[in-house]
Amino acid sequence: MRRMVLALCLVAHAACLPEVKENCRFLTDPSPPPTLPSDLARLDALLLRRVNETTVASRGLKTLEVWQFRLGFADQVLSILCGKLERARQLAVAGRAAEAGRTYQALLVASQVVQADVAMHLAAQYANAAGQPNGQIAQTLETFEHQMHPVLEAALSEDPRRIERALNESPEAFHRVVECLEQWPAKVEAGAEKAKTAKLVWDLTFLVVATWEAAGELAEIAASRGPPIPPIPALASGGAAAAQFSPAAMAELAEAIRRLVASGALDAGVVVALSNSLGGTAPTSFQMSQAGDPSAPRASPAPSPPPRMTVPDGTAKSGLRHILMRHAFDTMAVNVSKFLRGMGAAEIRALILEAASSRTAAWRIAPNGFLVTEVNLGRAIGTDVDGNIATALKIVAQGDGSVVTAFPLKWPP
Amino acid sequence: MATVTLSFQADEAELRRDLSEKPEAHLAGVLELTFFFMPVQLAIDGVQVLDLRNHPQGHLQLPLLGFCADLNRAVEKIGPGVRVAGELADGGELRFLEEGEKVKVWCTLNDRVTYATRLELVAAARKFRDEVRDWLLKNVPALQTHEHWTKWFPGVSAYPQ
Repeated sequence: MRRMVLALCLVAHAACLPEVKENCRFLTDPSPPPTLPSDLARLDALLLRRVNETTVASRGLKTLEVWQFRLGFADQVLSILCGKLERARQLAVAGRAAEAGRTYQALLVASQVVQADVAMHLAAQYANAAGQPNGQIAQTLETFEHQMHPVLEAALSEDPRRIERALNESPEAFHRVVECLEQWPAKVEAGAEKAKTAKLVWDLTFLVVATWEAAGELAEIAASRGPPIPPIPALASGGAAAAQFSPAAMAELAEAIRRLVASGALDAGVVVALSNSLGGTAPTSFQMSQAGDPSAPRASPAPSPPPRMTVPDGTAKSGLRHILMRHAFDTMAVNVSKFLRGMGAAEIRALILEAASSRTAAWRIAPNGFLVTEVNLGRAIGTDVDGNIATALKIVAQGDGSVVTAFPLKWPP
Repeated sequence: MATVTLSFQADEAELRRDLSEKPEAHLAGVLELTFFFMPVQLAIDGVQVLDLRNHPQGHLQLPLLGFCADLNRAVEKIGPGVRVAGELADGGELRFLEEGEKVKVWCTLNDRVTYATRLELVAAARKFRDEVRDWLLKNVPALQTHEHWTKWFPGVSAYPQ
């Protein structure tokens, strides 16, 4: 009886809540999009779909705890996103592709944050309904906001360097969201509710994988390691949700992104940073690995944090002795990558430790259990196998962090 | 129909050096990475895929076990729309991408591109694996007791039929 009264009170309260006004012309007055250059049209369609689907999902936010968020989303966030989308279209129609690209790029990142935000609030609502303490829910949301706020702010500034920096400063931000969304409903025994967030999460992943695909092919991305492989979330209803995000659709989007970067409409740094935003790992070393099929098995995730690296004196086949015998400048070995003249044991050891501790060192695990990374040090450290100047270092280590080999690489590899 | 030639040249001096290091006592990863560097050639319809400025006649020094195992894993994964990329020792990648009935094969070290069918590539990779196995059984017999042997040479490929 008491529960019924409480329910009635809540219904009455909800009825008195301020009305939600979805402030977006594309929702209130939909019309066919203008004729846009085909690659920008693809981004435009993706963004419009996101606006629609995120709005539909937001309508599931019905409780007092998340009502304020829904109001803010419908009135302010939608207004900003849709306003920017409208402006991007105008620029594109006017033939100002570079400016349009900059706005579309900002929207891709901003919509990524907004989509994650709505998904997080849906999960919070379920958690609340399942009786999880409010303090815990608030803390989870607060952590999310803390991580995402700089990314959203940067995106809204439309400054490519700022966006890139913000994404790079939180390299696993979206990955943590995906993890959280996977685990949260399960923790509060609301597994069935996973389906409602799954679509949003798949959309997040879809864009990241597409940018990864694009980044993997971009010769322009010379200053970055290139293609990391984002881990694909294994949500309960992923199969159904994933149907909308076919490999063909992803390949088309990746191709459009590639061309837009090549034409200067999208910024390579932002694309790479976005492609890293699920905290993925690069193709497995010393083995052939797959790319292009998001349903394919991926390389093992990188250990996080990577183990403390050591460079043992070693033997002819492993460790510093092997490295010196095979890759030092004056070694007898021919047709192999070499360190610069004058680099001896101390310099090479220091170089390995510098690269291994670099923030850009993305470790991955080879099938044989070894840890692998390549790090661009931004300065000449030797020559590659074909005599080209090499600025990057590849490191292979055992699982305990003991270095097996390391040698210079051309960048990008 | 493409002619795929995949072969290696035994380097006796390298073999002697490696044998002195007791390869059977090393971890699989070390064996795949730093042992048995031999000149390897991959030619498709006369195109030397591994030909570099510093490596005449298309032969690239590669660790036999690592290259052989990787290549065989890779050709199994070739499929529509899937780019299979493998890293070559000392840098660079060998990539495969199925395009219609053909598989595009290219090496990032020299941007050389050529085509063969998936079946032709699989057949060449399997033949290469048998040759590597036979060479190891003859020259490094102790290696067949290595716990990784049946991973390098899975199923019936573990021993000569």
